[in-house]
This record gives sequence, structure tokens and C-alpha cells, in this order.
Amino acid sequence: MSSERNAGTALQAGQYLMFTLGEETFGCRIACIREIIECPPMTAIPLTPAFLRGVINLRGAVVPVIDLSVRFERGRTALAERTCIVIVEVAGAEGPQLLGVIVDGVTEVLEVDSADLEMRPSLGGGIRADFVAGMIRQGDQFVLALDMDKVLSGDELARLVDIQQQARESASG
Amino acid sequence: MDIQAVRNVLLEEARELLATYEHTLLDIEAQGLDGERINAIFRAAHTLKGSSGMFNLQRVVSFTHLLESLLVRVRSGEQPMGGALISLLLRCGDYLSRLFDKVAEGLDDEDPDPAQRAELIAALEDYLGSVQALKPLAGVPAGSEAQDWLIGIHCHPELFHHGLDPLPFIQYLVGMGELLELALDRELIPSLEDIDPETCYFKVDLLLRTTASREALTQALEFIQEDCDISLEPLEAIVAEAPEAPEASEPAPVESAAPASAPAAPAASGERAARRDEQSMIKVDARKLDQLIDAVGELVTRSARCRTLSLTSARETVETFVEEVDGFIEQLRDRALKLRMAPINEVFQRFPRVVRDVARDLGKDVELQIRGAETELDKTLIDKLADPLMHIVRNALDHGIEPVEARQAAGKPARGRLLLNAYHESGSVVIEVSDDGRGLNAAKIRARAIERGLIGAETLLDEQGVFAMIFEAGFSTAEQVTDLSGRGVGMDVVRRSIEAMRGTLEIQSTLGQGTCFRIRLPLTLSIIDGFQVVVGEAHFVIPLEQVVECLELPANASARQVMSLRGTPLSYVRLAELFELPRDPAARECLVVVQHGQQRTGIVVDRFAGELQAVIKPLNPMLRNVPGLGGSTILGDGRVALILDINSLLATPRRVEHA
Repeated sequence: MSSERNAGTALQAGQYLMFTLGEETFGCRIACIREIIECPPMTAIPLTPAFLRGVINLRGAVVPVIDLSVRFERGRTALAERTCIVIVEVAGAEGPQLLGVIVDGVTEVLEVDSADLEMRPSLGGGIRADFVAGMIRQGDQFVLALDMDKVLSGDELARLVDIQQQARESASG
Repeated sequence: MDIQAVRNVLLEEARELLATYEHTLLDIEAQGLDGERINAIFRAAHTLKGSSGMFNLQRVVSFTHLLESLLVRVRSGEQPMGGALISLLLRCGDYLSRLFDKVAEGLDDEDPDPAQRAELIAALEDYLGSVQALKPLAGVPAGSEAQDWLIGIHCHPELFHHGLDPLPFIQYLVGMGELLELALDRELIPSLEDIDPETCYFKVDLLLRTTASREALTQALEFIQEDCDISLEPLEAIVAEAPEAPEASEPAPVESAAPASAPAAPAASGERAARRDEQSMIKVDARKLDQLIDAVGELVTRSARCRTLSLTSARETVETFVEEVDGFIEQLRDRALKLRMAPINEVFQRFPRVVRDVARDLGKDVELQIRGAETELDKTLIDKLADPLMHIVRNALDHGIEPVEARQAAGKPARGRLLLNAYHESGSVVIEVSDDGRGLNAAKIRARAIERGLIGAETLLDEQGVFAMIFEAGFSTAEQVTDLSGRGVGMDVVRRSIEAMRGTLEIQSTLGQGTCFRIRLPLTLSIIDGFQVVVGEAHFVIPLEQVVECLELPANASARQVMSLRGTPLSYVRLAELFELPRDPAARECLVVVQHGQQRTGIVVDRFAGELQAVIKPLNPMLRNVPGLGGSTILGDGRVALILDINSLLATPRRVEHA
């Protein structure tokens, strides 16, 4: 129920950043995007889940980088020339925080009218339904619009990191 | 004019005044009443009333007015000071704190506790006698003692910039007696088009008939005295006559006022000097400090980068230059960090009251001693230290120190002793809470830990290990659960909050003689001296203060995870194994011996990369529970390196051994 409502707020007309992950294109509202950078050297964090690729130095701030492809259960993104990191600001328990998202390439920024937006389908093309805010019509194709607050939910990511720790402790104990 | 900023100053001042008020009362209780102390309390109440008046905080003003009236009588000796009165005055202070909390929330009109207010007012009025209490502080001049005063107030043009408004002071002054004459110097006020609304053009002379003393009149104006030329002259000669208007309106020259006020001046200036001394601490917005420290941090990083570059370009001049810059930056860093330092007294000072109240509630007789209150540490640490320290102190009072009868039966002095002590020791701050109570019973704790399933019945633990059990979640030795502690929550929270500050906690205890909790904290959270190590391609920083020595791992040591270091067994762990990292197969393994608590352990890495100053960058909240990580820092080449938290890093495998 509540995710329906949140999806509604995430699905708004306006500018969307289109980017690719593997073969697929996704869109995400530009309002939460701070900047897009080339992939800098990354420092891995030991003993954390695979979706957390590491941390980077963003002009003095240490920012975690999330591998969206792993988050979508599609395997690790290989770093290539066109690989970018999209820096997004998401709400966290302790105020807004910056997170980096690895994408295979950024294609364009699209002005989307409400007429081109559709509610999300009940099955989200292999992606967890609550990650999808809706769909953007692009000619005769549809692109999934992601709900970044859900995809990068600080609470959920932190829980996943903690679960990993507990699993490790009980495994070694 | 930012009213909120001025209000914040008021609130800050109010908190300080209430703290002074409280600890002075406790001093009086412990060491007796003297003129200096009663003056300090009176001044605090009076100042609170005055500054609250400026913000029209009627609830504070009317309450402090009553309080002040009572204190006047204590000061004059009419009202003796006793335990019951001190308790009442302390509770009045508590109520005022809560009132100011409401003001801080912007709820000026809200009473935090109307019932308590009514009760306190009734109690204050009981002391005052109802007639006295209802009278204003200084009423209409009554009888022979009334005197006429010529008061000149010439405001400095920048008065408004200091957030002041002269009008309430004048109204207050007028309320102290009968205003006979008031003259405004209109010459000083420019025509409307030339008026600068932020400049004060106000110059006024009043002729006031009042019974109030010179001191009372001076105090009424003390808030604006720095921003005004004030003259105060008694007109004894013309008391009987109707005052002449021209004389009154003639601006009283400041010089001529000087001799008249001379008798009062030395006392007043002495007091002012004392106050200035108290205020020689400058308040700085913590955010500004953070910004400064950030800038210094950036500078440290840049300088490291600069050093890296100079190594590649290999020019002597560059090196010399870099060294100079380094020296300068180090100085700057130390100074900037010092700005953050505050004396630990900021947290210690609340304990006299806590100990007094808690001891009373428990029916125990406890004397609190405080040592090393001037010891400085990072302000953020001081703030975070308050809760854990409070818990340890309450615990010591509740479980440590025995009731009087038990103490006497054990042949101890009836009065228990609690000591708060702070000192610096090799780059960290040590804070001790020690009591001369019953001490910890290791056997009992062990039994309880087994009963609670925290350890197995066969687990071997040294005394430290047993004592450490009281910090485990869900542990409580209290046979009788009291209101204060012993609910089985808290001590584990204490340990966690100390560890979150990168601190350690130790217990020393002798059964029947007492317990000492020793908290060891880093001086600051912002920058540490670190030792950089490498495993494969990953760089890590170990806090230098924990590094004991570095050596190559002896070739014969690899079989078991224990080696002999100059005859002493030393257990070691491979960082690559702990963190599941690929090793550099070509590297000869090296060993860093680290000190954590009272233990030493070796950490095996591929190579050492030297010392560095690490500006600590906090990690994202999602990474906070990853064991072994204390934060991150940015290296000279711009990469992020992880700072190891040795305590949590080495805690994990040890727990596995026990299980």
C-alpha cells in the first residue's frame, strides 16, 4: 500500500537521466542527481556485500559506490571506458547522504511529460517491483523509471551489510 | 538584526548562569555560606531576570523576581540558609532550566510544569512571608530613605548592533521609583531623511526618586553599561524641593559623574574585572570550527600530495619548500585542534548535583572528589561522554558504595568516597570513576554470565575478562533492581558509546575495597597520527598511538598463530585473512605489534608504507557496523584508505575462540 503511494510521488513529469546497465536503459529523475563523474580509483571495503563496490574520494568526501547491476541481481558490472558513477543524494536516517551508482553509460537527459509516464507494470521486468517508479514511453518502447529512494534505501542497504556481518560471524563461530 | 542569534546568546548565557547557580549552591551546602557565594547566586538570578526581561520572557522574569527577593533576604542575613532552603533553591534552578528549554524550542509562553511552578512559588512565598512576596522588588518610594537620582544615559550609536534596546532598561528603572523628570536630547536626533535605523541616537536624563540603592540602580543598567555612557548622581541637596526642570534636562557630563560615583566604582570595577575574567573564553560556533578543521584537513591532504610530487621531481628546493609547508601545516593543525578543546569540567560540573541527589535518594552518605577538571579534550567527545559517565557514576553510587550500616560493619568510614579523575597520558585522555565501595565479585559475575549464557561453564577468563562481562548486553548483577540502575540495560550501551569514540574501557576492582572504571579516549576525533600498511593493493591506516613496534615476521612463525617476541608469546593475525583480501605473493610478511587495552597482538601485512597524518572522514552510516573499520582518510594520491579500529578488529576472532 505505502509503496504504491511512494511510487506515485516518484513518478513525476520532468527531466530524467537515461543510462544503461548492461543492455538495458533505465531512467531516473534528475532531481536527486548531484553529478556524474568518470570512475575514479575505488577502495573496496572488506567483508561487505557485493553490491557495495567500495568508496571513492569525491573532493574530500568519502562516498560509497553501489553496483546497481548487483543490486538488481544481475551480476557485477565490469569497469570499462564508458563506465560512469552517478552521484545521487538520497534521504537517510541521519539526513541526506551522497551515494555513487555505477552505470555502464549515460545516454541523455530527457524531458518527460506526464503523458509519457505510465504506472509501473505489476511485473517489473525482472526487477523488484518496489524499485520501479513507473515507465517512460520513448517512441514505441518503454523504459523503466527507477525509484532511487527505494533502490538506495539507506536502511535496507545498512541491513544488508549487517546481515552479511552476522552471517559471517555465525559461520566462523 | 538576527533576533534568533541574540536569543541563542541569551539561552547560552542562561545555561551557564544556571550552572553557576547550581554549583555555587552545592558549594554552600558542602562548605558553608559566605558573602562571595551568596553574591554569585544572587547575581545569577538577577542577570537571568534582566536578560529575560529584554526578551519579554514574563514567566522567567516573574519567577526569578521572587527568587531574587528571597536571595536578597539571605544576603542581608534576614533569612538563614539551610538544607531545606538549598533544596528548594536547587529545584527552582531545575524549573528555570526547563523553562529555558521551552524558550529554546520557541515556546516562550508554555509552562513546562504549571503544578511545579505553583508549588515552588508557594514555597518561595512561604519563606518571604506573603506580604513581602507580593511587593515588587523596589516599590514606590516610601518615607525617609527615598532619594533623588539624576541618571544620564547616553547610548553609543552602535548599541543596536549589540542586540540591545535601551527602552526596557529605562522602563525597569522607572519601575524602581517615581519618575520626576525625563529629558530627551533631541539635538542628537537627525532629521527623518538622515536617520540610520540601525544607529542609536538616544540620550536621556532622568530624575528618579527611589529607595533603591546605588548598587541596585547600577545593576539595573549593567547590561547596557558597556554600550552607554551612564552617569548616576544623587541629588541630596534638592530632595525637599521641587526639582528644577532645566537642571534636570541639562545633560549630566560624564566627567562630573565620576567623582560622585567614585565610592561605588572600585567595587563595581573589581566585580566587572572578575566577570571579564570568567568570560575570557570566547565562544565560537562549532560549525565554524568544523569548517576551519576541514580546511586544515584539506591542506594536510594537499601537502601529502605535494610531497609525493616532490619525490618524483627530485629537486632539493622543492623538498625544502615542502618541508617548510609541512611544518607550518602541522602548527596550524595543532592550533586548530586546540580550538576544539574544552576542559572536561564541562561534564564533570554536573556531577556534584547528581551525586548529591542520587546519594540522598539511596540514603547513602557520599563525598564526591573531582580531580583534573581542567584536563582538555575535544568538545565533541565531552558532549558524548556525558551519558556514559553519568551511567557509570550512578552505577557506582547504586551498586558500588554500600549503605552506611554495611560500611560501618565492614570497618570503613561511614561516608563513601567517589572520585572523578581526568588526566592526559601518552596522546589520550584517561577518565576514571573510582569508589571505595564493595568492589566487584568476580565469582558472582562469572556465575551470572554463565547463567545468562554469555559464556560457557568451561570458558577460561582472566579477571579483566570476567569484569568485562558486566558490559555485555543483558547482564545485571544487582540482586535488587532499583530505580536508578540494575535494569540490565546501560552498561553495554556505555561500552558501545565509549567504543564509538574510539575509546577503551577498563575495570580494576578489589573485593571489599572498591572499583575503578577507567575510560581512555583519543584527544580528538578529527585527525590522528597513523601508520600506513598495505595488503595486496589495499591500504590501511592503524592509529599510531596503538602501534608498539614493527618487525618482519620470522619465517619459522607461520605454523601456529603465535610467535615468540623476545621470549614472550605474541599471538598474531593476518589482515589478509581477517578481511579476505588477496595477498601480494612476492611480499615478505611484516608484523605490526599493536596495543589494545592491556593486550598486545601482532597484525601481519604485506608491507609498511610509513607514518602519516590522517584526517578522519566518517564512513557512511551503512558501514558503521563493519567490524575493524574506524573511519577513512584520503591519502596523498587522492585514494581513500580505511582506518582500522583495532579493538573491534581483534574482538571478532577472540570471541570465536571462546565459543
